[in-house]
Amino acid sequence: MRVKGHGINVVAKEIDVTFNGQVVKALEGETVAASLTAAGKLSLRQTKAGSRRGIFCGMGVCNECLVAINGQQNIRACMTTVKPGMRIEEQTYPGKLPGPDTPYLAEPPVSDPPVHKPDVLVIGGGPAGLQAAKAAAKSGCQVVVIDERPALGGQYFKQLSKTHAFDSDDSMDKQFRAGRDLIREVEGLGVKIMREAMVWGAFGPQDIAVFADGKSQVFEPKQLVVATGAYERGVPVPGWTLPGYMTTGAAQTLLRSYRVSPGKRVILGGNGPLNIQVAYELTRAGVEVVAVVEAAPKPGIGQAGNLMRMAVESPDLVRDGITYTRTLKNANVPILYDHVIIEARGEGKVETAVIARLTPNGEPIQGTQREFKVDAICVGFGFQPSADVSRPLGCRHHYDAKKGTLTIETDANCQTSVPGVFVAGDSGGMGGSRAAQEQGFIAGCAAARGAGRTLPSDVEAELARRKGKLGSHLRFQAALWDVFKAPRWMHELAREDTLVCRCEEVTLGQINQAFGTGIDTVGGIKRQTRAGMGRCQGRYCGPVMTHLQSLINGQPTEEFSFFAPRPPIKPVPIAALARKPADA
Amino acid sequence: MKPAIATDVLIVGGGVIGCSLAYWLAGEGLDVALIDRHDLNTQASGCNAGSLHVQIMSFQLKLTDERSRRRVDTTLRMYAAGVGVWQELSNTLDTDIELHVDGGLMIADTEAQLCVLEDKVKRERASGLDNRIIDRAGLRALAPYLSEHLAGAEVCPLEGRVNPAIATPSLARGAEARGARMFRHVELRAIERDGRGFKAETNHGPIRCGRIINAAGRLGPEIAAMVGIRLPPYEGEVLHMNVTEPVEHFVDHLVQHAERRLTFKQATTGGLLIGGGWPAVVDQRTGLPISLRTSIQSNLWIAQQTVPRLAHMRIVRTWAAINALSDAGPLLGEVPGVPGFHNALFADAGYTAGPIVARLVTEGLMGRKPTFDIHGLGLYGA
Repeated sequence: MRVKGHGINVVAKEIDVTFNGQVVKALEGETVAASLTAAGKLSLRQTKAGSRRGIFCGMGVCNECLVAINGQQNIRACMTTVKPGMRIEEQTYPGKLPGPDTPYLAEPPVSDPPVHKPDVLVIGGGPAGLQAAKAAAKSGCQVVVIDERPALGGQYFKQLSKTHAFDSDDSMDKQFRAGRDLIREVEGLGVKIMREAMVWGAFGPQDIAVFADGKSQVFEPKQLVVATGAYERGVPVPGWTLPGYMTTGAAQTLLRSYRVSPGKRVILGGNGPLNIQVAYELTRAGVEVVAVVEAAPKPGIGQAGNLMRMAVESPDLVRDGITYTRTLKNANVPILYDHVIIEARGEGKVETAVIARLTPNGEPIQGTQREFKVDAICVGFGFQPSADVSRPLGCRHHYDAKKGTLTIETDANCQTSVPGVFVAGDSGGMGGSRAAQEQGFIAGCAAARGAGRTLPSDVEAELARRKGKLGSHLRFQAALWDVFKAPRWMHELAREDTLVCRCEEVTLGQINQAFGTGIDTVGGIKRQTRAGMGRCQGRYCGPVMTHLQSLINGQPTEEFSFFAPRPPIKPVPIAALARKPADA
Repeated sequence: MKPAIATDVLIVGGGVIGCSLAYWLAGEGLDVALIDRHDLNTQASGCNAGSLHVQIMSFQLKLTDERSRRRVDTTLRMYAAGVGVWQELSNTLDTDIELHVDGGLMIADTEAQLCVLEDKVKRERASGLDNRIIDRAGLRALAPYLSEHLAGAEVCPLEGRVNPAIATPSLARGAEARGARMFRHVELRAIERDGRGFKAETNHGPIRCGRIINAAGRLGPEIAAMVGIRLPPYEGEVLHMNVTEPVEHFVDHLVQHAERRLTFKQATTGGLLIGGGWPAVVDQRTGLPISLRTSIQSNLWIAQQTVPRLAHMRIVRTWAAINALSDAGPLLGEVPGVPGFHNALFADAGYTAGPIVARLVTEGLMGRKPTFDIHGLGLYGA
């Protein structure tokens, strides 16, 4: 459903496309995912086992929202801009063979693909990447930013799509405004920006393979800043693959960028402040939010110290939090602390969310189940860093058991163990958007120095200021997640028949059975069950399987406990890659 | 896992040969234990792409000395018999191992290449294979998915594919069901004589055994050295494979190129497995095999020249793994002068030959006449 009001107006032309032969009204310039969600079409593809899937991550990672467009197979609806007359169809499994008129996914290259040699290449146009680009460009570097989405900003600074416009700056919230200002500043600095550009392989610090503009291009930068952000943790619960069950981030993108709600009656759940923020944003947009289900206990007197710390470090964010909770209260949207969504039910799409109260140990209590009739369930259990560029480059990581994430090892300048490679922001380990910006700037300055530049005095001054503030942001984050401290579920909410690997449809029971035969590594389980071999490259099932592996073999999780990183980082057209060998 | 402290037969190596040995020897009623320093099926057996190669491969054609030629001609018959053993296994194992023997094509771009293939067919027919040459039109009719620019191909009806990720574990389960004991993460450190048998020292303590079978693949020479036998070294060749997204079935054959580095087939899942011996490397710090961009791009270029429809498809995965290579040829059976110590080592296209290698070694160990004519194979005692 499309939401209206709040000083935001549609400016795009309404166009017609078809979905499974039925006409759907779309706004020119929005994503296919937005058009279909607005039209109430949630089921986008069929799996091998014949079940239905829809949007899950909303950011090009999970490959669940695949559709066929004009005969081309396996197109991600969330990353594809809708065009007039598009013939969109539910994606079958396996993909159909092309017809005589089906356009190629890319034109086979006629000449050697371009090689770019900027001073600094920044991968990712979110808070960290934009600040890195800014710092390096201000220091005289020739900078290229590549980003996979049609617009800059990343997940935190995602902007209103060009389908809509604010009637004045006053209609913009400060997150929109800060993002817009930063993007404008970077664009004004002569930074070359490549949108809809996807890194498909990181073969070396000076060998970054990018699929952009229909072809594979190679970057040989002097210095590399990796700012690839994060994606939502996958926590398997029964029904989590139903269309309509999506990440909170996916719902927020639909709403903030495209003014589309994932449903008419929505429940949000999981853990952390994003669920409350998005519940607030949906409520303000007139969507019926039935509850926010939060795994952490309600902050009480015991959290006074942390709340105080947060108020000292970032008082404005605490004020925002108070606004969110107050608005929800006034709208009679309950925040159910100490609860978790344990199941999604429905025929081919989400119809019911089942929640349960938790024991102090984080176990759902039998008999406390409650059901809510909803048409969308938005879930966020925190994030996993996107280490998909830093790992293949061989950068040293370690497993942060407290956060439950793989974390990059860097020095104070965000320099990794690989010379000339810097990692900033959430892709190195979760720290929030403010820390990401400081790290981005720090990395941008270090990269500029690495490229032989001397920092101008104003950049030096800003660097000193940002280095000084980084600690404050990280203290805020630590206190924030202490307030939202909750059990970190891996497989515990899944049943034996719950899918852990969404792509290859492998259940917890099948994985346990494979472990039971004596296999005790995730690589072995992958070969045996196919879990992790799918299009998402094990991004969601991998951490769960790594956790199971540590339970089975008693070894602590470490850098090499995870699936080996393999190209392509995301599926990429063969036609774009194919390149005549030297001896042919 | 703590290994048993005593067994009649100790198999070193949990690849396809070791697991097949465990399967058959346990079937003979012997007390069998298998150890692997990793998990089962993790090295060349678990990481190859499951092509059942029978015909002489293009790199083997380049081996022209008499000894190599003889070895190639003999192993050729062994591959053919090996496919037959796989067919037997697919009827007896507990799972569908995705075995398909729908024929293999070696394609030629030019008439000159086709001429080379014609000579090759003569050589193969002399070894009893029913291979034949088809021309341009014949190839269009048989494999319309291939580029119309190809000059023709050699057809080898016995070629096909199997899924190593399913087949080796299935053999291991079969072996366990017959009473074999499989011990993972047990590394052999030394072998001592112990009466008429051996004492095998491992990282989990000693194992007393009557006989030892060396099925350690690439590490075979290291194991043999423990009983004082010097074998020619094996080389590890790091190779990479590409996997496409799944698509409706359209490729029936195992296809390889007469001159270019290209092999492909369509797996049961619908994805095409595309390789052909393109190099990968091992990362210095992490020790993980990693693919090279140029290998991926070159391999896919040749693939797309051959199958134009690939321009409609994506690659979704690659993997890199270490293949075992050796000039030694097959080393099978009880080693003269070291009673009770048997080798079961076979390098090139070892997955195709794995079960027949294990069967020959089993027959030798049981003192039975081999079911396959091993004359000329260079077997001990043959």
